[in-house]
Amino acid sequence: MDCGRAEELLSDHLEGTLHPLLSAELEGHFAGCEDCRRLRVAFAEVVEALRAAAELDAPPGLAKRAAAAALARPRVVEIRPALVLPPWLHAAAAGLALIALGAALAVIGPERPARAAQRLVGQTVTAGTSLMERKDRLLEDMRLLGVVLSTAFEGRIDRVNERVLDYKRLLERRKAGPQGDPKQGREARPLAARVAEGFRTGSRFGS
Amino acid sequence: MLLNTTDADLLPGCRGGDEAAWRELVARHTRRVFGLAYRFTGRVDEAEDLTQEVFVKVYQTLHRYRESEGSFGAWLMAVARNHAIDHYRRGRQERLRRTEDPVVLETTPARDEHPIAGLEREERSRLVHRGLRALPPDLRLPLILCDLQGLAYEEIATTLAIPLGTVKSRINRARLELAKRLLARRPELAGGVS
Repeated sequence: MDCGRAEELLSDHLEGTLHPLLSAELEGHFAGCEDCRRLRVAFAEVVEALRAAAELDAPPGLAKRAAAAALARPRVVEIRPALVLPPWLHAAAAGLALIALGAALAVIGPERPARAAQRLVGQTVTAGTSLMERKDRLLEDMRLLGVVLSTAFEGRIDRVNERVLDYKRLLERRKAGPQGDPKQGREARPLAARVAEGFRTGSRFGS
Repeated sequence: MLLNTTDADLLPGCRGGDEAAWRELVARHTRRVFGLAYRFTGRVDEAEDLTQEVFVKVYQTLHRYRESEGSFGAWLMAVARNHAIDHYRRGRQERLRRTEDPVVLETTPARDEHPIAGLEREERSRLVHRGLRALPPDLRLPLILCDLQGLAYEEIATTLAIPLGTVKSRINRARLELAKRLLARRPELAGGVS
């Protein structure tokens, strides 16, 4: 055994944990090596000095200062969840989530999730575009309907105006007298009946 | 009023904000925490700061302590030790630039010790502790935990998160380093061992 090996074994030798064969070999080395013998003594003195070190008294007032320092800090309050779920419930929830994920993958097929997501985005865009086109067509239809209705209404108003004008002309002819009226011989029907007939037929009154 | 109470009696009050209970608990354990802090820092002022930090940390984390996991004192010292290790690792560069603290840990005198032998022992202790402060951290920390804190090799391996074999070899190397320093200063010691 050389000195280096002897140094490596000093702690085990001191603590009595060395194998008897190694211990005997080490003692043999000590017998022939004064340096290692002196080192062994110093080694034991070091351990003794360290282990015998008395505990130093704390400076006066340290306990009060330490307690006050802790009290001066805001206390950390442990927040516990109001409802503590049992572990088996966590496991069950995780299992259900896995089943749902598996089902989703089965529905979308063996494609990779990224491709499926890409396809879903494409479908969403197509559906949105179609919806916008339908909205535009509906608006156009509504506009045309408005035009038709307004035209029809305007035509009806024009007809009413024409009837009013006819009535005014009739009144003027009556004021003018019987000799000035070339249609006097035909005035056998009453005025109200003729106005009503004009509305029904759409023809000019008295023509 | 609190003389006959145990740590376990004081803890509910401490958790509930009872300042008197907390002051009593701190008073009971300050000496041990300070002693540990001093052994890590080697300076009284730094050890005082470290002691206060430890109690602040303990007060903040009292809710984490469970009586079923062991005594409060053991839990407190584990917190203090971990904090001291973190502190030591953080500030080692700064520490290297500082001067030594004049305070030296005294050794417990043996019974019927001769006065000359007592002086020798004290001087040896002074040299050993001075050498301890000069050791590199990777050697010093395991040695402090082993010979000054009395932890088993397995506990040191867990605390420092290093393999058991590494712990043993580092402790042996640290002791060897100190022993060689002691041998080098032997002629200065009165009545050196030969």
